[in-house]
Amino acid sequence: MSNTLVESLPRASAAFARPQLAGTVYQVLIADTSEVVTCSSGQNVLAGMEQLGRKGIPVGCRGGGCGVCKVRVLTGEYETGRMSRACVNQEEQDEGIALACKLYPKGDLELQVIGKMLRAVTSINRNQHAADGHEPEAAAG
Amino acid sequence: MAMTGVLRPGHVALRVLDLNEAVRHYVEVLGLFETARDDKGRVFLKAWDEADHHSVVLREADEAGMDYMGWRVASDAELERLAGDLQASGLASDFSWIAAGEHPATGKRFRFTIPTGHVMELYSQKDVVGCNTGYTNPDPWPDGLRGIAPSRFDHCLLYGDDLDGTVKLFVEVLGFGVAEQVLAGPDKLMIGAFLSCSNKPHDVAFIRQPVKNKFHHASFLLDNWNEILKAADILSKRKVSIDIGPTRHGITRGETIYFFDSSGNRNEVFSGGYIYYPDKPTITWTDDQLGPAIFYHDRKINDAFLTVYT
Repeated sequence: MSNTLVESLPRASAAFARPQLAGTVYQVLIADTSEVVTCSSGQNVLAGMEQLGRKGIPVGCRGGGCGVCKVRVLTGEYETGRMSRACVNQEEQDEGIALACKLYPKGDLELQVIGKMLRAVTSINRNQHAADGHEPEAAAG
Repeated sequence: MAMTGVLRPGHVALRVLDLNEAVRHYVEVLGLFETARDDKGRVFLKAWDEADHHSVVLREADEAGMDYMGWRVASDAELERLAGDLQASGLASDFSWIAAGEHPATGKRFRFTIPTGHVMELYSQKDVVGCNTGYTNPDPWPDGLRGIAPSRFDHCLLYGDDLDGTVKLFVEVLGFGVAEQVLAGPDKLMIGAFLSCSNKPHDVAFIRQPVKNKFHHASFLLDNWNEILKAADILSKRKVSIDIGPTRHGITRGETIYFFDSSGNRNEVFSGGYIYYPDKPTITWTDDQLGPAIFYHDRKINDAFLTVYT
């Protein structure tokens, strides 16, 4: 029973919500997981993902500051809001890298996830103990 | 009480991506009061019960994060003594004196960089603006509060690599005590330190991470658990990005909610904890219990706590 309800919820919600959304609705394909996120006009990709309980892009500060939701846009038109240069430099931005929380689709998008959450504090700190002070690759910025 | 040397965290200077959005967050949602703007575009704010002119400084920049944290010391003589001790310690670097007035209403500041890469300052004078209740027969709180309205800026949690060096500096040079620590593995590597210069469970805390000069959160004090719950209501009403909570920390026993400012800098409002004295035994957490140490009810390691910082 509950499985049916949970599984039908996103679909039902999307179907219900779509005619009511003002403006255009865009489909965003997360290539890594084949998950499709729906974004209304003016809504960022991360918010679109979170709104219907979708997953695939790590969620951090939601403010363009921490960098864990970093993605590469493979195809499609978009705009970005202000993102911390500590997370996305100009060169990266020019080649289609953005933070999903500041990524506003202007058409359907296809993207690849770059940002990651760190796991297991002990291994992080063990690695660091022997390391040279560089950020771990998982820190995404 | 006979508190000497470093008295308290006096200010935290944060970089924000959009100044107007940030001011809206810190004034309307968090509920601080703007006390000044300067010709560099910086905005200075204080909490309602803080006597001194400002405790939060905002500056628009292209990267989020913390510029520096300032510490109020007991006197001019203590400022000079500690500046000398820091320079002689071999534990800090990049020393400089910042002229009086560079922060409005503030005396000269001694600036230095600690082994984890964070910039710290000591100062001994800041003009008293005061609490609106006044100091003679005061009411318990003033009219005109809005938003979450914490009573003061309380502490920061910072991430950096050379935790050992930073803890040594705060303990041996600046006179802090280690209220709580997190030790990892059979060799008991210290991966977290909660340091107090007062009766609080922490005035600053550091987590060992393979980065320099990273900011985890700035925390502001509320009275009780019900105010934390109300803060959560305000944050959700204002559609502010909530990280986790309301919940309780094992470490410090604080009741807490974490959220983010408009540039991704993490804020906390918290209440509770305990009274710390310098002779209180240090509380130790082991890394296998890090889940409940950080979030006591959730009890599992929170990836965002370790990964998300500016």
